[in-house]
Amino acid sequence: MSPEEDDEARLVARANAGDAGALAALYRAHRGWVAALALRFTGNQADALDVLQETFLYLFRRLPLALTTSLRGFLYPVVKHQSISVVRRRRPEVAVDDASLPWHGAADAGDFTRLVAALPAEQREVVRLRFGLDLSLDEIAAALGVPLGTVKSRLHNALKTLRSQIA
Amino acid sequence: MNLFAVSRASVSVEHDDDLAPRLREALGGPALAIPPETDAFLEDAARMAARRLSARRRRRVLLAAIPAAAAAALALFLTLRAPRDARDVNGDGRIDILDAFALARAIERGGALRPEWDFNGDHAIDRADVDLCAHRAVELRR
Repeated sequence: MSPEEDDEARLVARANAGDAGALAALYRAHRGWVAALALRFTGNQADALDVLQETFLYLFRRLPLALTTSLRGFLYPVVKHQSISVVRRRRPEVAVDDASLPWHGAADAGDFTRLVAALPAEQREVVRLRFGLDLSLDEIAAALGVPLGTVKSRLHNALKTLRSQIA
Repeated sequence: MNLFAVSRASVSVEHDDDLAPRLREALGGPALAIPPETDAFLEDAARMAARRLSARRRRRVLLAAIPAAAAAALALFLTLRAPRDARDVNGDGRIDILDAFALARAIERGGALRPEWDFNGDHAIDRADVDLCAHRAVELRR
């Protein structure tokens, strides 16, 4: 367990014992990441803030936490599904699901965004988390609940495809 | 797939060409500024959630204690309600010669006599029962 994970495990244990300070510290440690992820998924600041709130209110309701992975691993699917709900509410005419949830990066990314969007869903997700949110491979593995080797191979294949297409 | 090759590829890809910076540029974007009121709201929610959790834990401890307390109360009740030994005439919890004196006084006063004080079973409560009571008390003391 890394020092960060050790710290997080200790904070989670304290939060599970009813320590409000530990729970607030967990919020402060992860709010930026959750907000950035929600903004990429929703493309809208107000919606991203809604997702941020819903995600942490869900986390607080789930106390005591029985985590089988890091907190990011727990939060990632929550943010994703809250974002899908928000996008569906905002644009009910557009069918959005787990695989077709858009990613809002740079406005002028053009063809590059299209190339990434054309990748298989599992590879696309890894590329987005790695380069869109600057997550480490370990963090991506925790967020997706897959082994580190799987993250590496998905990233490798995705980049190989992208290279071949832009060559 | 060769894991070493995968690992080398995934590490090298971010250094050996301009793909990684271009991906960062395309997929990244501005950070979301979280308004102070959102922070305040969620930190309040965290405090309330922690308080609710503590209250739930206290309730659970109390609920767990209820069966034990009920069992103790029942045991006390049964102890207090246990039928008194018929030989304990004066009700002091001991069977001794004082019970014989108490029975004699009750007979002399003509007060209420309990059927179980008919120790010799002759359907009358009288001096014979007092004698038997005294005799048994002395026997017990041995």
